Amino acid sequence: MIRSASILLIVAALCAVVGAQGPKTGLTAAQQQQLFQRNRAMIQTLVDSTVDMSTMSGDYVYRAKTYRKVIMEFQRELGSAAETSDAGRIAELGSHLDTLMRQGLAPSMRAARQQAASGTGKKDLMDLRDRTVELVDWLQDKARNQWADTPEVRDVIQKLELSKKELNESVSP
Amino acid sequence: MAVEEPANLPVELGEHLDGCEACRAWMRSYGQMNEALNRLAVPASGGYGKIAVLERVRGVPTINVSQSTNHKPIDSVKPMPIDLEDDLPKKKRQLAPFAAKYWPVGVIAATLLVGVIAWLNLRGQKPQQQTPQPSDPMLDNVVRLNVEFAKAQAPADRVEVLTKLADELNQEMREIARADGTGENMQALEQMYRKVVLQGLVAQAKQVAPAQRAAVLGPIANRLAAAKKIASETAAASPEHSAVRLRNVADIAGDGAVEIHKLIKEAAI
Repeated sequence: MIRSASILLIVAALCAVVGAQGPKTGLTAAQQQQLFQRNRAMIQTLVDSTVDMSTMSGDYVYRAKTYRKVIMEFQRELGSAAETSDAGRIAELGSHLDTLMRQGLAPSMRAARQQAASGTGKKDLMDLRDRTVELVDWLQDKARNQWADTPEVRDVIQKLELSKKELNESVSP
Repeated sequence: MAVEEPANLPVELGEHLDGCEACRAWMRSYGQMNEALNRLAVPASGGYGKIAVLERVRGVPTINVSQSTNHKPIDSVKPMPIDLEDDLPKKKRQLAPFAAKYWPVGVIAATLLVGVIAWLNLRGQKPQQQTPQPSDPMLDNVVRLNVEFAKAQAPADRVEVLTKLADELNQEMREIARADGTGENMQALEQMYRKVVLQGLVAQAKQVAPAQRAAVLGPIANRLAAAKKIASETAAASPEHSAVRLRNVADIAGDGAVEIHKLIKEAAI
């Protein structure tokens, strides 16, 4: 009885905590709805990537591959933002892409390098590295030649350069 | 006919008419004609006839005064100037003939004017600046949780990250439930929540070592139970197309909690 009562109390306390979480950072429901609508594809890809990584948590090569889809989704959105000269959006997505590449993909590739020291996994990893670097090169080239020359775009180009460096280092012997 | 007023004839003429039938008849005709002439309306005119006459008058050589001894020689006599402006009717300027003659010029001028105005307006126009939208806290959090999961080594850490991700999705659903007019976003969030809880969280919970399950998974189960309750309460206050999604999420959270409790119980045996 005491145990049941204590569980009920804990649940009630947790409900109070969870329910007390107000709207995020002062946004209205309509604003949040619009933001979600805008970013839904990227959020969906990120959630899928997270769950996929959990199902194959021991396979770092697979984990690294799941990031490819995420990065392609973000670079697509980044391209749209650049075409509409949306500086805030370019900065936002550029920052996320940098985070995903340097804190998500590169560490996964480093772990995968150790895991696939020999065997076919190593070849997959090198292929993944090369294709991702190609994608980064393509994005950099587009940013330099087709996007407006703004501080946000220059920042994205610089971050992409750092990401490329980390990717190369992540699988180099 | 030289008589100014036919009604007042001179005496001798009146005596003649008394004795002359023919002249009386002629007089009657003359009177009728005179009357008809008086009734005749003066036709409307622009005065151009009068202008023409007066201009002809002005253009006629001066009176030949050389035959009169009382007049000065012709060279020194100048005709009295006729001030046509005072005498002549004002010319009414009519636009129709003018427009008929010069309409192509008018069209070209109007086109040029419109073109210049349009050029002036468009010349300095910059691409419309989009209203900047705030950055999305949910996207920020999901990116952060994704890389956090990538770094997590132990199943206990991964379970914790997945629970946070589930809470994030649940909260987003509660906050946009009334704003999502079509329910499309709520449906997408429900599907993500289902995947995270049942495919991710529960699957990862099985990886937690039995010795750690009570400590690690107990709070997770409690959080899922709380999420179920909150989702149910929010559903009661939401439009039906959102309420059904929230009720599904409540069921998913409940199922997740049940599965977690089973794992805890298995470990305890």
